[in-house]
Amino acid sequence: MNARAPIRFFTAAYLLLFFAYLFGPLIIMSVTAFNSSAFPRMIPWECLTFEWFGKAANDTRLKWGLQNSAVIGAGVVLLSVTLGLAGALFLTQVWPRARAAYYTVIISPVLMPGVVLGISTILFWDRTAKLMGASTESGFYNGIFLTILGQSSFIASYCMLIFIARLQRFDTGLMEAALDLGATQAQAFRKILLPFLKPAIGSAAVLAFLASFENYNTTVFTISHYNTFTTEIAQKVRLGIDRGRHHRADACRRARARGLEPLCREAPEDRRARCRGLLQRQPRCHPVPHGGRRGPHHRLVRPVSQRGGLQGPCAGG
Amino acid sequence: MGSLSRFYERNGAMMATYLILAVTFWILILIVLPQIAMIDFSLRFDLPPSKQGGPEDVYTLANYRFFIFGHPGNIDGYNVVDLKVFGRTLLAAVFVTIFDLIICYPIAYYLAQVAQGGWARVIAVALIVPYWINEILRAFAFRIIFGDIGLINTALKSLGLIDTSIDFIREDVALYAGLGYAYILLMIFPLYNAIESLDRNQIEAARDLGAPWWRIHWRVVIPFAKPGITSGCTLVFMLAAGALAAPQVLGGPSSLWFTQLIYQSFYEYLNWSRGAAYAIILLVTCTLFVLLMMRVFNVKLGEIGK
Repeated sequence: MNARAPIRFFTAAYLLLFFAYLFGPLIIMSVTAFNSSAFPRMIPWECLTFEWFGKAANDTRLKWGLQNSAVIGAGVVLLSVTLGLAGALFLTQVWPRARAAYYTVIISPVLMPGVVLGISTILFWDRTAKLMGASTESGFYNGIFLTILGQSSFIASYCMLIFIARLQRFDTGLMEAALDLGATQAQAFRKILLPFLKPAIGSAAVLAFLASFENYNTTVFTISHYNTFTTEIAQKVRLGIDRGRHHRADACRRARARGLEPLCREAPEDRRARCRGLLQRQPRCHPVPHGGRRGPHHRLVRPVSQRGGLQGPCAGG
Repeated sequence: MGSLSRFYERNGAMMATYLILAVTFWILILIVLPQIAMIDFSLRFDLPPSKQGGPEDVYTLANYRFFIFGHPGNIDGYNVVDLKVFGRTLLAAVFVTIFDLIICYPIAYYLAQVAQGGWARVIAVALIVPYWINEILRAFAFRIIFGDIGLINTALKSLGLIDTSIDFIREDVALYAGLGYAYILLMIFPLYNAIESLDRNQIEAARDLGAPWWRIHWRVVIPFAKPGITSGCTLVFMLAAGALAAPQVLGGPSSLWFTQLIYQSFYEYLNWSRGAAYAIILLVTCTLFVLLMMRVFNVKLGEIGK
């Protein structure tokens, strides 16, 4: 027993260290929320305050973001659980030879960078909208709709993994027995398979909502001129970090990239300051080849001066 | 058609229709067609809408050429900036993956083979809880620690150990710590799944035969856990290389992550075609790299469970 004492000691020390890494940053961040200093910091401690919570609760932009996140989360839960369940049930029936290929395709979104999923979603729907001649006010350009689809493409795979794990313990004999006793397919599904899968449906729904709520990489591309809670926080964090450097708000950039400019107005002095910031920040400056453009309506909506504001100094540098 | 009618017979009309519709929608509308649209975009010039569909709207490799050679008339001959960012991103993602593997393996082993009953459950919950907190905020927490006037710098200064702040952000210390942190859970669970199914008797047999602890891991546990190690590493590598939130919050002013270049193409240069091309370059290179590593370590794709 004595020979194992050092091992025990090291195990305990390692566990301690590991969980310090896991929880330390979060504890520190939570503590800074009570410090009155404007920059979140622990030392020097100024004074204990609850003011920041009040500020956050009264922030209308955060409230809007929260509302959008809730709507998107609900949509993603519905769509991903439906798709994930179908994907898992289908896997048990697909021809053995096609199974590997089917599995690879349907699991691939988990491994794809979120950025890629977001981009491919907006490009596809942009194309579709143009083919159908839809206007920028139509659903094809709606950030909430696109975000639900973009997020579901990979969250459905998470859900499917949960269903597959549960289905592995399912006794197919039960279904057969029910059918032999004269139940219809629909009855057997509703009375046997669905109750068996109920806990899995619950955990898949919770997981889908959490994954949707905290997603950033995909959402930041699909959300267009809206903001979710997460993108709103990201915008605040980035604006806070780049103090002195004037960023156009993220939502404005996205609106501009989609040709939805009128939804977002920017004061001329902001624009100039931002362009100066852009020059300082980037050692290199790509000239914008054909000028910015996007969206079927952008010609109508983008004032020429605005493009000049962005392009002029950059092209010169 | 025989198999289709058998499928309908087996599932009943309603279920069969639901299955086929849902799976088709998922594969076609959410996965395959968007990827095709992205490839299509990446192979076209970035034209203003008036010229789209006109005689100039032809397929081209210009966006990919730009990634390698930069602008024509470029002094270096190569697009040094973008290539450097790309190489650095891949290298850093490999580094983050190895870091996570090393720190997570002991915990996964402990959770799967050593910890018991309620204690094991406490540890599992403690692992999950930090991941209920938003990704952005997790990254921001590292900013608070490593920032210019962050915890470490202020503490060192007040102790009189340093005069000027150490720029952890510029040195990318904060970024690596934050990225490593972000994907711990994705490494632990595949490892745990693999190690958990190992029969304890095998470990005890090795111990009885006089193997030291490190050899038990090297010869028994690690070979057995290889599929889990592979899926963990694949997940962490792909997601770290494709991370956007952590580099945006923790990246230094002069160092960029490749995803940030993609983001810039979209929102600062408004060049969607180049953004799409860069996204494909990232996706294809990472996938090839993972496949290559699987071949090197002799793991088959089918062995990766989940």
